[in-house]
Amino acid sequence: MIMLDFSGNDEKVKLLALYYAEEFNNRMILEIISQPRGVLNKEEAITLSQFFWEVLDATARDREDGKIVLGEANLQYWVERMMNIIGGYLKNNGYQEEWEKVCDEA
Amino acid sequence: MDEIEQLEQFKTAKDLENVIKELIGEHRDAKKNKIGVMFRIVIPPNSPTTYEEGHQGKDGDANRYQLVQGVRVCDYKFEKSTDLEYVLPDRTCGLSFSRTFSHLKGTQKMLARHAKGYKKLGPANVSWWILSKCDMPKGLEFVPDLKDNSHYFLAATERMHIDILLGKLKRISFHMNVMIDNMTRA
Repeated sequence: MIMLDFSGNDEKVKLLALYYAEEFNNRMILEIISQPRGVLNKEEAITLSQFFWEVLDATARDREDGKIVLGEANLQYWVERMMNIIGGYLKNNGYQEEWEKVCDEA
Repeated sequence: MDEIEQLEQFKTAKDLENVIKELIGEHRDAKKNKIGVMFRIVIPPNSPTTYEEGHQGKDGDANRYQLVQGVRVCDYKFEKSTDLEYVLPDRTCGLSFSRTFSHLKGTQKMLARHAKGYKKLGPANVSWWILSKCDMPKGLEFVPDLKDNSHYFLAATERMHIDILLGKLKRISFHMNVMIDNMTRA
């Protein structure tokens, strides 16, 4: 199973995903990110897509509240990387339809 | 092409889709793997390739969004030993461009969503570069993001002074079209 790729300069994106998965208490996302498995089915693809938009909103809220997360006051750069990592992963693994549908409805 | 150039704003997602797909159809040849046209989302008042001070993202301790002559330090690999006077070649960073409508649509939505603050939607304009109108300046290259092949970096492929990079980016910007986001938002 192909996993989400946080290699290279993107290690912080993994930390960001884990941080908010913990905050949202989303066990499925924690498993997808931290265990050696990828997305297993359409339901998980939808959950992962929704997770991205929830993180986008949460980071914007935290930024406005002046909250420092993972040592930074503004995580926008890493959220944009997250979009490419999650979106690219889903598209490459047969879940483009689920990703696009969630993006359209977000 | 004339019709597209005259459409200076989009009011609906469908407007945007029609324009982008027409541009792709006109300027890209998939068989020759030709890039042809590339798209970039721009939050006003920034230009297609450079940022205005105060509009590049609120900074924290990381100084990730510091501007060096309109270029964000997070977008290129700046040489710290020269006090950020030079950028170094790095194919894993650079200004972001979308190759597909799907990628552009998601990016536009993402950047518009909190453009004026938390849950305060704002305009996110769409710019595009028809590559035949302006050749790629030496030392820059479109490099696909290994994580998403519909996302490209306008990467630096050689070490260059920030003045040189800025000149190249401004030249590109001069040749880019911008379509204003005039979508109705709640």
